[in-house]
Amino acid sequence: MTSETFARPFWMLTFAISDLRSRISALKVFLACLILGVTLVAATASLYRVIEQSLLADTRTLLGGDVELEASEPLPDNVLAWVRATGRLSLVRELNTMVGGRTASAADEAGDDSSTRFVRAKILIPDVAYPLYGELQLTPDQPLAELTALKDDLWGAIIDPLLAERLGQSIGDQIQIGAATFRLNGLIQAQPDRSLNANWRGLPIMISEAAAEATGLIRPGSRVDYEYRVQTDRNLDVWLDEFEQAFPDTRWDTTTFAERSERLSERLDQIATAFILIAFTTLFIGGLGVANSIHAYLDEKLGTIATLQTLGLRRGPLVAIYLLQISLLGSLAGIIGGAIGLALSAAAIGLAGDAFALPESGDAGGAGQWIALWLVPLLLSWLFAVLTAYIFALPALAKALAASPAGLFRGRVQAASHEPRGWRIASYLLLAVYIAATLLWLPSPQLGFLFLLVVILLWSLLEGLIKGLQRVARALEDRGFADRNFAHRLALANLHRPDSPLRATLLSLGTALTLVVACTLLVGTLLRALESTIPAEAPALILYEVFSDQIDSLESGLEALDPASRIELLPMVRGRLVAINNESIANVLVNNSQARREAMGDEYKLSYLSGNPEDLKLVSGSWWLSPAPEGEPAFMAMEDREANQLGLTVGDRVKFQAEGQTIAAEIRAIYQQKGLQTRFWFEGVLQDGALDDLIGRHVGVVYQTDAAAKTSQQWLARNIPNVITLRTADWLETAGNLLNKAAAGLATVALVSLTSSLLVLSSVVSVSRRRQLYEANLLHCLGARHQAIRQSMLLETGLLTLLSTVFATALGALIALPLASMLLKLPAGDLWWLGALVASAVSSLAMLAGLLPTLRALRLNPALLLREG
Amino acid sequence: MSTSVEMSGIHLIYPTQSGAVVVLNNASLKVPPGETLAITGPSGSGKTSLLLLLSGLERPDKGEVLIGNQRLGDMDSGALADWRSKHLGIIFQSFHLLPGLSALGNVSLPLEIAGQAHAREQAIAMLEAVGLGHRLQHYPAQLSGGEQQRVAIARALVHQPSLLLGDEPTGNLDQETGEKALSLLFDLHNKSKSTLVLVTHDEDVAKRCQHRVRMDGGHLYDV
Repeated sequence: MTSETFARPFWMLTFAISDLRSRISALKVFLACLILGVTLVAATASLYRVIEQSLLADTRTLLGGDVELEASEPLPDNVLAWVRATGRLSLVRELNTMVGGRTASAADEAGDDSSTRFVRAKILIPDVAYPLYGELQLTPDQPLAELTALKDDLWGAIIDPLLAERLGQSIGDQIQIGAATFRLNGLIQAQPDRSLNANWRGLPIMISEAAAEATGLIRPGSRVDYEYRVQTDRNLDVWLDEFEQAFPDTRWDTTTFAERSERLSERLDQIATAFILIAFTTLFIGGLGVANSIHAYLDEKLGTIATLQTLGLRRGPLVAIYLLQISLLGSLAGIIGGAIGLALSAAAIGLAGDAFALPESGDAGGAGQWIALWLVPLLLSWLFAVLTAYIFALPALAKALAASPAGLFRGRVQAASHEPRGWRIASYLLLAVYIAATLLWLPSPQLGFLFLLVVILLWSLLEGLIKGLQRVARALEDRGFADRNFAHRLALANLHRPDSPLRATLLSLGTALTLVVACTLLVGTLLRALESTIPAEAPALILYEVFSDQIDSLESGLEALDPASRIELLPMVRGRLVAINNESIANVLVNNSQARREAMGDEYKLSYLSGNPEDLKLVSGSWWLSPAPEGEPAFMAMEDREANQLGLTVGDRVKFQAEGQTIAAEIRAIYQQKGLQTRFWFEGVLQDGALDDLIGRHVGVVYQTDAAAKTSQQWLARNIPNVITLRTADWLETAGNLLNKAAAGLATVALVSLTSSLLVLSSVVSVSRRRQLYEANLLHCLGARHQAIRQSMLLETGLLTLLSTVFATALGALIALPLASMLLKLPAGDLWWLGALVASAVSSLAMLAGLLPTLRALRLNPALLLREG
Repeated sequence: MSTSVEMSGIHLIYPTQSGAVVVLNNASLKVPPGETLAITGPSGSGKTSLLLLLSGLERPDKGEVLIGNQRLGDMDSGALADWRSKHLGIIFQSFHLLPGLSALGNVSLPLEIAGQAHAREQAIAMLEAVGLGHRLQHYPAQLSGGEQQRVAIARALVHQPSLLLGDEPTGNLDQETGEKALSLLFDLHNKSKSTLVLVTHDEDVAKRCQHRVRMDGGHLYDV
């Protein structure tokens, strides 16, 4: 047969496949690592695409108009006239309240509502123009006006199906809103402008404008949000500019759908990028398994490679055959992983129901959408699988293909010790292509680039750490630590010898454990925060929106119900920031129109420092003891986030406007809230007396038992219905449920990553096992007892376990502590032991799981050494 | 330190799928303390099995192996390991150095297994004696074949064993390097006074020993 015959592509393909099939079992870890990583990449990426298309398909619909003007009072007539002249206008009034559900039979038992469950809900009072965009779908399919009209002396209400479920109500039942009783006439199947956080912040109920009056909830001083939506053909930037020019002292929060879309897209991109990066990290950790697995496979193929060369196969076809094998393996893993990932994504979308319904499109559009959402991610998964396979397999392949066939005559073919230069350059180029492709594919390349920098930094740190550890191990060995103890010597040598498993172990187990430690610390911190929110002294009931003239009846009513209760009320004044250091906010932020509009539209919740139940932590400045002096700016403490956003520090002077009056204040302190445990979230606290003339509403806490709090809640809903109540126990349950979901999510991510790392570790262990068994036999030959050999193996494993645990605990804490501090505002440093405990338990289990089979396989037979020469 | 080596009435049978293979059939030999013995014979004649019996790594089906006054058959696996760590040195054809340990680490190993003090110092002295004082920290993969075999010789002799076994010690080396290694082995043996048993194909190597036996068909024949 000639070399030309050998070079035929078909022969190469059939040879590559048959050669691969003969040892495919040796590549189980190769395939498993790639499939797992690609599954995650495909699932996260396609889920992101579907959610993005669903949410961003028409943000006009989500916002309810082209522009939204949000105010806490009706817009003046001249403003309304200006807006109407530019397009169509719709108003939706919104207010929060407690809603009680009761069955028709229970309603007859007047006054006895002990079994009634009260849930916080958002009352929506749309006008006739609603909705400007999209379609409101109701069950039964009747007009909104008809379903909310007065019939048989009962107003109609339509509610969110989830709220109906929480209240235990169905169509035909009666619900109590304020002073009025409503008949539940329908369910909201699809609300085009449904808030994305409606499930947490209050589920919607729609009632008519006339019915709103009957509830008695809207009275002077009531907290009602007026959401004006505008539909206009004009350029929105021009519209906003003209609006600002027409009403320079605007006090309304204005948002265009483009801004909303941008904000939503930015946030979505960041979240998706974070998840996709975790998926890629898993794929990369799995790459180590690919490298180990292909190394072991090619070791077995060295004889074949040498034989093919001695038979006259040219280098080109030889290289092509093995590149083809890697390509085939990568493709197989990519298609399987991609298909599983897309199936998982489709299942998740199916579970979410209509939440992520894709926009309707025609047949042609449907095909395009199908390609974009499913086929492109599948092709990209395949591409990344093949690229990952090549990047991690090339070094081993280069060394194997550089092996000299002369070894056949000496009894053993050995791979080259270094890959040839050309191969190394090809590896680097491929890595560059991979990184570029990943960055281009990520929804937020900036975040991806940042991640890449962090990875390079961490990698350098890891390399430094490994070098340092190896130097220490060598120094310990040299300084007599291992004298008279060969187990110590072997364990130390295992850390610094060539091909030491230290790097692979720290990279695979260490990286996954880092994620486990970080998740443990975050979840542990959250759980502890929840636990510490219910000390004996914690209030059982939180009150919002208590009017000043309701304080007496509220206190006497609650005390009559439970004489042991203690009520503490605190004023709450909402004001807008109008000036900083005597300069109007419009001037201060003259160059940033969006920040200006946000600052001018924002409402600050202000209160007093004395009697404040919130545990405010002083960041800078100092607290005060004196009340506010007459005619001078009052002392004020400002929340750190607001102060940082506006660049305010201690000594700055600010002016607020509330209830038509101006409050002047001097910042004396900056404080931090306690994050999760914060109940009222004040943006500013002032000297006593500074707000006296403006106080119309209060917030408060009631100290009593939870059973008494339930009774208080029902009494308040019946007698002072505008007061919004929140039982701490209820809040804890909701927060607990949310936390459980978050913990389950984090645990899943950590588990997948851990699985990938365990696969890698299994390949490391399998390479180590061959070495350990060989060494064990040799040591026995040299006179070491069984027990001593076992101890040496345990010591070697124990040292690697200890180092992985310390590495993961330190790095995990380094990631989790700033996250807990910045995002959750909770300290997590003192929980380091929990991270260390989990890391040591997981790493011990993983390493022992690898060692035990080795110990079981330890059938010492040193005779083999002599027989094999 | 040297020891006598005595085997008498040894029977060794390996069960195989195609029936039992008689490796040694009533074989006996005797080597006086400090002397050298070469075992030659065709492949598969049982030379290596003989070394395994002498090192206590294999037990005969019948017969007795006596090293000095130690009856190997009376010792359990642990006691045999202890005996090897103190009294036996083995040189393999393929060297069998631990790839994870440097030359110094490999040579220190027998002393450390035996729990002896000053293992490093003794190992350094031994490596200097075999001309590898400049290669102490090199790993086996960084050494040539001849250097690896010198490390193996140093490892076999560092703890001053009374019995030294060599299994084709120059089989993996070219003639010139093999000759050097062999000279070194015999020089060191002369200084240590240990008893040396060598398995070899090479008649020239065998001729350098005081006693020679040939194995064939499970029997030992004096040459």
